Order: sequence, then C-alpha cells, then structure tokens
Amino acid sequence: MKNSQLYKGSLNTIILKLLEEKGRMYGYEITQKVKEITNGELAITEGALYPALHKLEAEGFLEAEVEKVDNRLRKYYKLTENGQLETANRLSELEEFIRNMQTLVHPKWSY
Amino acid sequence: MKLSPEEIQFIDNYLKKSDVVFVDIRSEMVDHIASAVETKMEKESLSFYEAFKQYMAANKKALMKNKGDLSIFSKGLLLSFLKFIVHPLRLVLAALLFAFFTFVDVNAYFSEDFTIQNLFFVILLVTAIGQMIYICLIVKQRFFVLERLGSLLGLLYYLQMFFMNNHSDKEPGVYALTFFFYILIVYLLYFAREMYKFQEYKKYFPK
Repeated sequence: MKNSQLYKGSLNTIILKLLEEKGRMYGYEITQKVKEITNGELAITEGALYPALHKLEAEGFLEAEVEKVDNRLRKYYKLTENGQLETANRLSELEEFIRNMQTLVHPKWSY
Repeated sequence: MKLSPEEIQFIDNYLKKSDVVFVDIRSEMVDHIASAVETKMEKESLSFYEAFKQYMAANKKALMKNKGDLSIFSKGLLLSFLKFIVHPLRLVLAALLFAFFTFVDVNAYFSEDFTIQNLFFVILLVTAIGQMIYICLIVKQRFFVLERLGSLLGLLYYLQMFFMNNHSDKEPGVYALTFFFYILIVYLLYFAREMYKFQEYKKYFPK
C-alpha cells in the first residue's frame, strides 16, 4: 500500500465505506475498486486486505456469502447491522481527523 | 477470459503445495489469484501459465501472509467471543451460576481425589477431544474458521491453571467457579453457533 503509514489506519474504514456503497463485494473487487477510485495511487495488497476482512467478519461487522462463480468459489462480504453503525462512526471519526489535519497543515493565522 | 476448471485446479494445487492447508482460506485465495490472472491475460494477451507465473512472482509474498496461522491468537476472534460473553441474556446465566455456587457448597460433593478443579479439567478435555473428533471424523477437511476456535479453549485452559487453585489445597472460591463454568458454558454455545454458521458454509466445499 502506498504511503502505508498514512493509509494503514484507514484501511478498515475504506473497506466499510465501499461495502456501504456497493452492498456486497469480494476481495479482488475491493482492491480493484480502490485502485480505480484513486487512479492507481492506492493499491491495497492481499496481505493487508484479507486479514482486515477476516477481522471485521470476526468482530461481527461483516457477514460473508459464498457462491460458485466461473468454476470457483467466491466469498462476498456485506455489512451487518452492527457494521452499518460502525461505518457511520468510523466515517465521522475519519472526517474529523481530516478536518483537524487540514487545520494543522494549512493553519489560518490570526494576529 | 474465464479460466477453465483445470486451470482453477492448477492454482488450488499450487497453493496446497505452498502449505495453504485451510480449505476456506485457500478457496478465497484461488478466487483472488484467478481474478487477477484473468485480468492480466486479457490486458497483456498472455497465456494462463505466463500470467500466473508473473502474478505469483510479484504477489506471492503478500498472498502468503494470509494463509492462516493458528499460532497467532486472533484479536478479532477474542473480541467476537468477548462480545458474545457480555450479551445481557447470557449474563443472566452468569447470575444464576453465581447464585448456585453461593448457596450450594459444591466443594463438599467432591473428595480430595477428585476435586471440582478435576471435573472442570475433564469437561475441558472432553470438549477439546470432541472438537478434534468432529473435525477429523465428520468435517474431514481443515477449515480455519473452525480450528481457530481451539485457541479460545487453549486460553481457558491456561487461565484455569492459574486461577482455579490447581496447584494448592485451597478450594476455588465462588467467583472463580462462576467465572470458569460460565466461560466454559458460553464457549460451548459459541462453538454451537459457529457450527451452525459453518454448516451453511460447508455445503460449498465438497470433500
């Protein structure tokens, strides 16, 4: 993942936000969607994505459905009710973080 | 360009040989690799083997981080179990157990040769063996979602060794008895819930 230190803490929020918008997605689709939205700037590696998905699933924020697609099994993830609440919380937290960072990076000095 | 069943099988065999032993984790990896290889074949007009070779050369290290290591205690699993424990309905059971151990001196029903700690250990052992038999004789395949539950049992084993007065003559108190019997009963409920979820999941994985 590019600039991993900056993005690492937001990976779960990115996943939750995408699932909120798309309803359900599978692992590879998430990596491609992130790449597409960020014009290739952000690439989520498999080593970071799947542990994050499995953790969110174990915590009860995601539920999975397995389907047979193109000669193989595909695991789709979608938000649970708790996951929807968590998404809203994490997004507002992230927005606040971005606002604070903007204030810090571009302070409006008053004399 | 969609991969053939033989090509999918080739990816699955490759991962098996790379020690990705858990069927559930491997099937998700197969889908990921197959999707990436299909895209690569289409975009770069490559053959399956060429696209697969190039993809694995670039991504194998990242992929293998996800092969499921049971020796690492999963924080997600622990959190999920803790949430399950503190559910209000189940806490009623804890209150009932506390009342039971307060009003009934269970230690009086046991002898020095077979204490209540011994009984707890036997139940723990039977649960662990039962789980192993279920996985080996009924499931017959290795699933990460099932086997990782054993780590909770392992944790319970170590906790009871320290807090149930196993190495002293002192009898365990009401709080210790309530806590450990509650956790064990709730673990069995949690295991049953995971089994129920797993039955739905398992039908997609033929033996």
